[in-house]
Amino acid sequence: MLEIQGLQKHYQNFDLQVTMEVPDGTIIGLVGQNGAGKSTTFKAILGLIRVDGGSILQDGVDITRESAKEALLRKQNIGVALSDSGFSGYITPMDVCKILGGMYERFDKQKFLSDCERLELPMDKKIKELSNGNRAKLKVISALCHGAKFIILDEPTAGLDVVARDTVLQLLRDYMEEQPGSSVLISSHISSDLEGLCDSLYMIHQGQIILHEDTDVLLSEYAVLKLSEEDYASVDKAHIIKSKKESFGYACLTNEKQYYAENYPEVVIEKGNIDDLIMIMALGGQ
Amino acid sequence: MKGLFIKDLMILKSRKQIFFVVAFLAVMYALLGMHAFAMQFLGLLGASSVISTLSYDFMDNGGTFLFALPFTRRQYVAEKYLISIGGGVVGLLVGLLVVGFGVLTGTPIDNGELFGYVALGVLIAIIMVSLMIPLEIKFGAEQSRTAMFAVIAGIFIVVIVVAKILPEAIVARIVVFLMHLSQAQLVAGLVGICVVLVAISVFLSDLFLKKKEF
Repeated sequence: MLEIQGLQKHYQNFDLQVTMEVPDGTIIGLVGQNGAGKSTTFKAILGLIRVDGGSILQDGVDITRESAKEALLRKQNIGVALSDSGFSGYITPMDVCKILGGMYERFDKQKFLSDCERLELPMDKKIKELSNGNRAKLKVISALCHGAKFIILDEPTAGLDVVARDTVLQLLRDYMEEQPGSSVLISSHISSDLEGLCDSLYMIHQGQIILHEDTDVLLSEYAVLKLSEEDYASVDKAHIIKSKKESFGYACLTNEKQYYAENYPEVVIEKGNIDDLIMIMALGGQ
Repeated sequence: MKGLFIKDLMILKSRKQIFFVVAFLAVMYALLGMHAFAMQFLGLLGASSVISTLSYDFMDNGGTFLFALPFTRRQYVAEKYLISIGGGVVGLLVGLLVVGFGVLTGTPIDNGELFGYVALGVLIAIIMVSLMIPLEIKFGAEQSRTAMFAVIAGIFIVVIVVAKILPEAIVARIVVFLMHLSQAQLVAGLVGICVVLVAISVFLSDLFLKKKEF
């Protein structure tokens, strides 16, 4: 269980203030625009930056105050794949296997090699010569090969085609079946990846969590109302979370789709998805 | 720390051309009879080749992922010094082979001369390691080169200024003192200097890395 309480990090032009939790056995998505604070949050969890306030509790231990030895033990139980960072491009997947074997006490060499073989990774080719898809697969395989209890995946499917994306996500689904108590914190720009994978989603905007909802609820209860100026003026706004001015009038995000469907049958209601959510929550007004 | 050693060895393995360069230079020095230069240059080359793994670690934002892996920052610093000094030792051993080749092919060398070669080779490699590691950690691969030049220039300026300021009599006494030291005293002095240099360097590297954010 990971609990982030009032985490603060101040930069010259950016302030992060995050509270969120990742219960055991769940996959939690973190969505937001570029520069919203997703990567900073991940870095704080991984101890890569100093935080200015708040706490990050992993299984009850505050990792912002842990000793180097405690961090070492904790990292044995974390699997990491980051979109913009990885092993040196000058080594091969086979080299990565040897390095991980030296790093992790519970490294499962057999699993690593069989996953690489199953996904047809060329083991003796330098990483910099691999395709984007193969590089991404290698990162995720590396994160999942030592029985980690907590997985952090920052944009693991960025830049991949639909087949490679599905393969990477399937690796994750398989892992959750093999290690049922494990939890995953994942960010992605591709909403369909998160919709089909996550138990709940946090949305971060300008360093603040502005929405947390179960994915099922998000997909079943949330919707976008497309309203003309006149409709917008007359409609009950009690269940409208955010509105965004559009050429036709207003696009309004609601978490009570049924209410508007029953009471305003003439209103156009579009099923909500994460892309709409980000657009309206990030760019909308009141 | 085992994983870090393996990582650096894998990076070095990917740069096989270095080994060919070292082997080629060793053969050339042996054939040309440049034994003293071989000892010093190969020691330096060995240490600096290994230090270059630091650049590979941080290249393309790689430090962010690397430091998420299970090792402490202090272990990272320790590993870099151990493997860099190891690289220097390997370079010096190759240099010794060159000297040995020279002896076998009729270029005799006395113990004092050999001691001088080794001592200077060790000192140069240690200075290199002690300067480069903290500078690379603090400034990164690109800026550290500029910083390195600045530090070396600074050292030269300090030495020249001190030599100018000190009365000639004192400088002469220092030179005489050094010339009258026995080989054992020189070894002890050299070891002392190396230990102090490395200790200061390790302290700075540890400090810089502890403060580094990724």
